[in-house]
Amino acid sequence: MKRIVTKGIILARTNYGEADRIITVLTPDQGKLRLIAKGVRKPKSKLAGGIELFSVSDITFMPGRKEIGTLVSARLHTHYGDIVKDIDRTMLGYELIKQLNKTTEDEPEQAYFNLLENAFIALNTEHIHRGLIELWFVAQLLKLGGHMPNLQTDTTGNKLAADQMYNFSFDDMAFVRANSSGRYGAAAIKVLRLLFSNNSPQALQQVQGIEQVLKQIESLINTIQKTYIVL
Amino acid sequence: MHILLIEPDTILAQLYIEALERVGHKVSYVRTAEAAIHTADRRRPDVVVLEIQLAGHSGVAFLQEFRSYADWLDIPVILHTVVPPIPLQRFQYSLKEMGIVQQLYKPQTSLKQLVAAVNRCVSIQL
Amino acid sequence: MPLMYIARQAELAQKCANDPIQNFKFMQTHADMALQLVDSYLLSLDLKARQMSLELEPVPLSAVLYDVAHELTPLAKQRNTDIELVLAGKYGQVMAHPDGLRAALYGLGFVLSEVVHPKKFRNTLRIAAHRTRGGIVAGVYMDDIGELLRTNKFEQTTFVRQPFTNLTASSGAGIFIAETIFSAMQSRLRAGRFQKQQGLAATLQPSRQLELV
Repeated sequence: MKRIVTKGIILARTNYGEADRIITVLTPDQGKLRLIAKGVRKPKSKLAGGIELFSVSDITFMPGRKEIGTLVSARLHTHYGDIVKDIDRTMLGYELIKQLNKTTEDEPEQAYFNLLENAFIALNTEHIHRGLIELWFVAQLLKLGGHMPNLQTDTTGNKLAADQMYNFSFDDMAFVRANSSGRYGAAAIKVLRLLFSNNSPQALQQVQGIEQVLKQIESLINTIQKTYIVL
Repeated sequence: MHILLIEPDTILAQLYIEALERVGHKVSYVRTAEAAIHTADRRRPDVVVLEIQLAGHSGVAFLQEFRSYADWLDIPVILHTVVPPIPLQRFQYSLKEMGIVQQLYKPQTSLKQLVAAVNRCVSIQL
Repeated sequence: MPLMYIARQAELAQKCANDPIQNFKFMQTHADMALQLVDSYLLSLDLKARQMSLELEPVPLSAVLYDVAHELTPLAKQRNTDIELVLAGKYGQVMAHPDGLRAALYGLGFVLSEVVHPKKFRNTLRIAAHRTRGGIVAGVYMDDIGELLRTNKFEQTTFVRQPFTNLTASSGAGIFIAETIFSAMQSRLRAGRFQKQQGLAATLQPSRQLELV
């Protein structure tokens, strides 16, 4: 029977029967897979979950006739072990996995795998601000889902100006020119552009003053997320 | 009712056990996530009282494992933790998904409140 | 922690008239502990924020270790931990800040007495000093925790929730106190070994003052 070798990140696990497990795995080239791992639970788990979380594994599997394939082997490739040493990072990592699992269909592109792996790398790096990782992840998820706000022109089609204040229209997903009462200025728009760009959290962390601006735009991103990402 | 208490601090644990046993509950006490899984396996709890900040595997890892067993999905878990409410606020969705029925902040939760929370879980099940 | 112990014990005691003296003893012990820890923590925050150093003077090390062991004993007992005091060799005085040294070693003992040992129910905590080429090493040690100790990461204890996850469920405030105070005493908290046990310790310099006999 055909065997496929790939990399995978475990998104979810359910125990099945006496000794089996069904795992949901995100791969770069085979999409999201549901695989049955036979006989892995004899005896009852010794909390291998602590290792499976936040890891990339090399997996070999056989596609099934229906939706569930069979896991032949799994070997840990990279374990981002520092994440579990911090409760806040553990909770955030778990949250990001959940979000990604809920928002991806069965055939997500490689970009989703890369996104989650990069999130693990960032979470595993102590000096990278947690809030930055969280907002960056949501921005990237929105971008992949085609829900990126317009960060170049305002609602009238004019280029966003450095000396202008704006508010944000969620209906138009664009900035609206405002007077001095506008909430968002050049710094906020610049950081938004960075969050939605291809830069990694490590690169973004180098931007001076980014943490202060994150606070300004946090609610904007979270509102867009609640609008477009159904959890 | 049988309560599984997962609490790394032995002194606090003794106080909680005494409070719960005084109202008639039976308590199984463990200090680590791994021991909790083994204990739940030996005797199914009716309610779990969980500290999320544990030595070794955290309470999050415990919940991941605990909730992966179909026969344990309906067991209510009360989070009774030293982690303050504000950092946990952003994870409400995940905590609900993991079947946390109530979050209690330890420094501000009396024994009476803990017992009341456990009793509420028990009465919902009956 | 000690404040929670007091509050919950007091709550239980109200419902139960048995042995009030024991209850009050319990509360007093933990109240004293809480006061000490809060003081030490505030001092550490101050030292860290202002990058201050502590003034050093000749301090009788054995007396300090003895005091710390004595202070930790009630708590350790309740945590199924035995305390041992070991002074390997003769010591005169070391250059330290007396209250700082006491607070630092107490903080270490407080955290390590909470260690959740994977295989043992009862632990032995050793408060010890021994001579090395570099000076006199004073620290707190335990069996079989070598793999569980993280080295050179103590400066993170203020920023990371649960920095010693493999060792203890504690937030590590005691480690932060010890690390900050030793730093302010021109020393450094490190992971170390003593008589086949692993632990946390710092090197202190012997006083060169002549002792009056």
